[in-house]
Amino acid sequence: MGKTRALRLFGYAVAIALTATGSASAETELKLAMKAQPPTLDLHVTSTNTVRNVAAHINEGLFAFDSTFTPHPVLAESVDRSADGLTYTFAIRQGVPFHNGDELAAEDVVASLDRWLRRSSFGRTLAPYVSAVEATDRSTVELRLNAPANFVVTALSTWRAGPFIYPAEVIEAAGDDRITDYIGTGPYRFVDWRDGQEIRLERFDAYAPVDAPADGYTGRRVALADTLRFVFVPELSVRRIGVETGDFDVALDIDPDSYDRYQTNPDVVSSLGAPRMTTLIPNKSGGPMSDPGLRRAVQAAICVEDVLPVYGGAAFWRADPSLTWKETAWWSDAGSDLYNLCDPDLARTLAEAAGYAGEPIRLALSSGDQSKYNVGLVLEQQLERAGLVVELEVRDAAAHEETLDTKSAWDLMISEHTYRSHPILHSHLQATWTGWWENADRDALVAELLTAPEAKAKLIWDRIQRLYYEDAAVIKIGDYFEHHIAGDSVTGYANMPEPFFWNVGVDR
Amino acid sequence: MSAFLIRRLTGALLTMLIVVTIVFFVTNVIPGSPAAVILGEDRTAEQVAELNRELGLDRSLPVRYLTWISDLLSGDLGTSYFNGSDVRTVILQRVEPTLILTATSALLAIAIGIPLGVIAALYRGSAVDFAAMVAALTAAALPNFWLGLLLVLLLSLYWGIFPAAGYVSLFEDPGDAWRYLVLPSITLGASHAGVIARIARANLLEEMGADYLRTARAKGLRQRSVIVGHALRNSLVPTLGVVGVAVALMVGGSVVTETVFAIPGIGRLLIESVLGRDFPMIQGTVLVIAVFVALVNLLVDITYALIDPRIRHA
Repeated sequence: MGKTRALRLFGYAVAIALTATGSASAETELKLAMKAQPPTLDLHVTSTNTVRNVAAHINEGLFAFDSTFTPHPVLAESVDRSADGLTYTFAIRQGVPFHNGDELAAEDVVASLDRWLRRSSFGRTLAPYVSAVEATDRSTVELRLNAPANFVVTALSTWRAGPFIYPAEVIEAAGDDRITDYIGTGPYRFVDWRDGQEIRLERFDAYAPVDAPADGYTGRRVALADTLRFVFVPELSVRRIGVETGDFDVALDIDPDSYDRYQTNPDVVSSLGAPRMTTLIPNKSGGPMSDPGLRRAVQAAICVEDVLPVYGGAAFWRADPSLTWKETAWWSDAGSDLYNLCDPDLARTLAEAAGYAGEPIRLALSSGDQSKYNVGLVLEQQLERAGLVVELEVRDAAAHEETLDTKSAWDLMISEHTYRSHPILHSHLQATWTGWWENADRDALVAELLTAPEAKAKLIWDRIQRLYYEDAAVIKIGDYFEHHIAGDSVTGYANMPEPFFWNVGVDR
Repeated sequence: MSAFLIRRLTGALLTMLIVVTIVFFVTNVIPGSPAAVILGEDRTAEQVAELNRELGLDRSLPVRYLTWISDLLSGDLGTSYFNGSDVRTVILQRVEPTLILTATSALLAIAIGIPLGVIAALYRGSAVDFAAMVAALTAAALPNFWLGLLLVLLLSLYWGIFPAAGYVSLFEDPGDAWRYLVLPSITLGASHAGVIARIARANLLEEMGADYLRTARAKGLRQRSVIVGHALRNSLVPTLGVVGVAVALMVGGSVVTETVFAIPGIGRLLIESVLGRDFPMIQGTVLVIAVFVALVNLLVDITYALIDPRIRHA
C-alpha cells in the first residue's frame, strides 16, 4: 500500500469517526456563502447587492420581472392606466399575510411607496413625476402623475433599491431612520442576524403565492428549503472549497479562473451570472475631463479587447457598444462607430485639438475592488500610449467612494453597473449622479423618452445613446459575467441577474 | 501587593484613555464615508447628506468626541452606523469566538511550545534538539494565511475531516463546536508555539548553567529535581512574559485566521468596521481589545510577582 493511499485511508477513517459525532437533522437547510454581510436589510435605502440577495426573500414588491424582463404583478392583482396616462390604479391582492400576521392592505402599499419615492435613488427618479399616492379603498391604490411617464410599472418592478412593501406601522416606526423590523410578505421570514456570521431566514408557512407558473422573479414562489442561511465568508478560496466539501450549497462571487476546473467536476455546478457592464466615467463637472474634446480623445484610445480579459476567459466577457443590455429590448448600436476605436494616433490628435498640454488626469481606483483596479491598470497604459498623462489614485473602498462624491477630487473613474431593465434606471443618465453630466439635449430627449409610446421610445433611446458617444459622457468598455457555483444537490436555481433561492431545493 | 495592583491598574486605565482618544480622532479624520458605503453606487449627494444627518456626522468633531466620551462613561458604546445594532451587544457577541479561539490557540501553543523547548534544551546539541528547533522555526515562519488555506485544503477538501469554515458556539453545541475550532487554533497557535519553544529552550539553557544548580547537584539532588524543581521554574519567568505577549498578539492578529475560517470574531469585526468606516464600532472594538491587552499584561505582571518576590517588592 503506497504512502499516499495509506494517508488517504487514515484521513477517511478519521473523517467517518468525526462525522458520526456531528448532529443530524431532517430539516432542509440551504447554506449560501456570501462575500460580505449586508450593511442593512432596508431595501429602500441602498442599491447594494448583498442587501437584495438576502432581503428580497423577505419582502416583495407590487411587480417583478419575468425571464424576459417583462413586468408581472406580485403583490398587485392588476394595474389600470388612465387614458391620459396620468393615473395608475393598482388593485392589491387580497388575503396576503405579512410575517407578523397582519393582512396586506392598500395603506401598507401607500406608506411603502411614499417612503420609497423619498428615500430610494430610483424612487427619486420617479418622484418628480408623481403628484400623489393614495388608497381609494382597502385594496386599491392610485398613483397620480403630474406628467406622463411610461416607466412607472418598470420602476415599480425593479429590485435595485426597489419599492418593496413593508407594513405601514414598520414604516411609521422607522421614521427617518432605516428599517430594522424586517417584516414582509415573502416566502421566507427573518429569524436572526448573527453579526459577522450569518443571517437566517425560515419558511413562512402562511405565505400566499401568486397563482401562476414560476418565471424569472415572477409566478409561484415556493420555499422548498425550510431554512436559508446566508453565511458571510470573506475568503474566496474558502467559499469555493466550502461548496466542494458540501459545507455550503451555493457560493456567490467566485473567481473566473476556477471556471474551467468546474466544467469537469461533477460535484459542482458552475454558472455564469447575469451580465454586468463596465464603463469609464469622466468627471464632467470640472478639471480636464470637463472638455468634451479630451473625453473623445480618451474614448478613441481605448481597446476594449485588451481590457476585458481582466474578467477572465472568453466566456466571462463580451465587447458590446450598447449602454443597455443585449438581453433587453433596449439594446442599441447607436454610436458604435465611436466604440472600441483603439486608435492612439487619433486620440493624440483629438487631445491636441482640445488644447491638452500634458496635465495629469487622475484615475480614481479602489484597492478593494480587484476587477476595477485591473481595468484601471490596463486603461492607464492605453491612455499613456496616446500621450495622456494618467495618475492612478488608489484608495480603500470607503475613501474611494467619498472621493467620487467630491467634484474636485477626481477626473476618471471606473464603474461596474448591474442589470437595468429600462434606460431611465441608469444612474449616469441623471445629472445628479457622480460624473455630473449636464446636457440640455439629453434632458429634452429623456423627457420625450418618458412620454413616448413604446415603439417610438426605443428610437429616442437610440438618439440618447448616440449623444452619450458624441459627448463621451460615459465610455463603454464592455459587459462581463459573474461566476457562482452550487453543489450538484442544489435544484431549481434560476440564473437571473439577482440571485434568489425560493423554488430552490437541495436533494441530499 | 495591593499597592502594586493599584499602580498597575491606574497605568492600564490611563493607557486605555489615551488609546481610545487617539483612535477616535484618527478614525474620524481619515478619508472615507460610511454613508457612501451604505447607500451603494447609485447614491446622490442629497442622499449622502441626509444619511450623514441621520448618523450625526454633520456635527463637529469635538462635539462628537464629548458625546462619545460621556456615553462611554455611562456604559453606552453607541450604535452601529450599518445595521443600527447596539455596539456593546455586537462586541459581546463577537468577543466570544475570539476569546475561545485565543484560548484554544494559546493552550495549543503552550502545550507544544514549552515541552518542545524543554526537550530541546535537555538534549542540547543532539539530533533531537536539532529536529525540535527546525520544527519550531518552521512553525514560527509559516504565514497564518498560507497555513490556514493549506489546512483547509488537506483536512477539509481532501480528507473531509473538519469543516472548511464557520463557527458554532461552544455554549450552543459543544459536540459540534470543537470541529470548527481545530483548524483555526492550529493556524493561529502554530507560529506562537514555535516562538515559545525557542524562548523556553534558551531560558532553560541559561538557567542550567547557573551556579546555584551546580550547588544543588553538589548537595546530592537528583538531576530530575534539579531541572524540574529549580531550573524549569526559574526559566519560566521570562517565558511567561513571551506567552503573555503571544496571547495579546493572538487577539490582535486573529483577524487573518478569522477571515480565512469565516469566524465572526472581534478581529474580523474590527477590519470590517474599518473598511466600512463604522466609527462607533471601530472605537468600541479597539477599546475592548485595549482592555483585553491591558488585562493580559496585568495578569502577567501579577504572575511574575507571584513567582518572583523581588518583583512585587520592587
